[in-house]
Amino acid sequence: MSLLKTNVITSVKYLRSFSVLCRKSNQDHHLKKCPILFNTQRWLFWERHRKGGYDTTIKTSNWEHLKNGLVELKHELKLFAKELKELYDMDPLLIARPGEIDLLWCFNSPTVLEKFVTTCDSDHGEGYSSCNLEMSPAGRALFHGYLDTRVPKDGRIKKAGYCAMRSKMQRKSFKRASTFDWHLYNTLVLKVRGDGRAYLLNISTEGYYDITWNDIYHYILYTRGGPYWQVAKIPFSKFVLGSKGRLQDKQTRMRFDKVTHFGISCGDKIVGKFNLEIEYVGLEFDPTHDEEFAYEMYKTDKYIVAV
Amino acid sequence: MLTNNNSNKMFFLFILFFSTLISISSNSWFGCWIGLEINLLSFIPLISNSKNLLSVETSLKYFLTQSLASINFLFMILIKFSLLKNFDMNNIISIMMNSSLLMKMGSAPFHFWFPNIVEGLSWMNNFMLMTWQKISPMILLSYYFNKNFLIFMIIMNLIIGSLGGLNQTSLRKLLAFSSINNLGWMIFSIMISENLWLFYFLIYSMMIFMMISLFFLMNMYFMNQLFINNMNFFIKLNLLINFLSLGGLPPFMGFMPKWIIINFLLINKFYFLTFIFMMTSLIIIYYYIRIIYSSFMFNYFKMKWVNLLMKNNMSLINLSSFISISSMILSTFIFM
Repeated sequence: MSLLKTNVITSVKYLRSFSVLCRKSNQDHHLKKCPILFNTQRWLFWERHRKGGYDTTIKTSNWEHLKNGLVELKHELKLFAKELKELYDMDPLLIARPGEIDLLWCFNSPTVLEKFVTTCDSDHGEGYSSCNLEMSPAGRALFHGYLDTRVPKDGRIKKAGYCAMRSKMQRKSFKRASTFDWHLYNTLVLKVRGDGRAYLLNISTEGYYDITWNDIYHYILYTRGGPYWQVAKIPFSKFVLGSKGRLQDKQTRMRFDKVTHFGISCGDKIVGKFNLEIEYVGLEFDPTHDEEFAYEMYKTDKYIVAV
Repeated sequence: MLTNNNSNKMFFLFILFFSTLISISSNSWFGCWIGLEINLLSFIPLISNSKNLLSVETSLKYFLTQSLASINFLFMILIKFSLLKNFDMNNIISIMMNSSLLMKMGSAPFHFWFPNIVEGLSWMNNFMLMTWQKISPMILLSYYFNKNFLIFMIIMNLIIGSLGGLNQTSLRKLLAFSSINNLGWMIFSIMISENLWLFYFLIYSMMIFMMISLFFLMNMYFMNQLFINNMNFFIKLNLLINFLSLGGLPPFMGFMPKWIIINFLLINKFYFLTFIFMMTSLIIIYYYIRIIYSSFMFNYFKMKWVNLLMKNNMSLINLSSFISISSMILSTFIFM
């Protein structure tokens, strides 16, 4: 809390203190500062926590940790053996054939849903929306819920109303954090059946340093409401850079070799239910698409600093 | 560097050049350290490009590793001064000083930053990192080296350079591991004589320049780009010649410095080390040939609308092929 500097809007109250013994009114005016409104501001770029200060740890005792660890040890050893075998084979995927979609997640069984986490603003008391990711009657993943833009009346936040699903961190053996390597591809392919609302596709490339921890590349996916599925092929050059939800002035191309998360979120300020059915999320290499980045950065004069 | 002028680059290149000269020509260890620091400070603006988030991260990582190595170096120099150990060659201080210089160069076992950073730089910056940035640590290494320690480091460099490059799909990381392997050869050559090292270094720089200029002209960063682009036959031939030359295969240019170093290895009776040098070279040639035969023989698909003609730059490519093939024979004319 010491890192956040609070700006206090003060109102001044004059208090008269009476001395009972001498029965005289004390003429000294004591000025007391009564804070009415707090506005917290950030004065540093440094991020202390990767999760932005939200406490998401599940508290377990050391004994529980040990037991859980022993149960997972066998599985992790198998994964490690698999990695060593891949290293020994020395046969990495060198080329992505055009026209072929390499699936990242195919939502045809409930086990795939465990690779995703859903969050919404009511998780930490910041709103009243709700969301859920489960299997639909058609046998595909259904991301649905209720979006509510009402703001809780405790003065902490100004705007509310978001629901999101995001893939969990890619892990190697022994829970080491790993990343996706998408350098062979240049297009994201999604087969979805929406309800006419606009969803936001988020690709997060958290780097090594905390400046880029909150950098997410966004793309707005407009869905049709009909009973037919839609296949959306979005080139990576169309994704636009935002940090903590704010679109940046200085836009850069996405880096493909260390992608950490992929997510879909709904936050289009329309109060009501939302349903998004997803069949698969995949990658494709499109050789006809030679655009490197869709947003032109103009050369500006030297006194324009932000760009 | 908001405007990315060439004049900015020239200024920093000039200081980079002079920092190396300061480092190698100073008559005090402190002057050497000053040269290394100025080298770091002038290289960082060359590689940090504020338009690209990846290059910002890369330059920050480079700064952290290099400054850590510089701190170690300075600390060891001061300990050496205070304990008056100016003439002992094989002791702990020489090991520590050598370690900090090896870390500066990106040599094993301090090489973990090197492929990471090479992945984030453009080709021309990579060329500077792989060639010029090795000069001053190498020469400083020759002033106070610990023979047994360095032989162990050479073995590690060779093994890690050859085995690390086997599973790579990025051309930059491939050349990074090849550079680590070549560092092994260079460290041995500087233990023999500075002239020999200079000879190896010049030929290595020339080979790397030819490779990097080819990749730069074709804007290639990954191996899949070698297969999907519709390359001219002469470009593919140049790629073959340069890769085999880098691997040290006769009759190409790259064989000559390796031949002379093996000659000196055998004169000094380092038989086991010679064996390791040869075997790791074979592994490296294996992964070069794997790339080349895929691009030559396998025809994945020929796309009609992407045509790398390169009519204007063919003369450079043909010249580099000619030099690689004929320099072994032409060099005999020099020493006539």
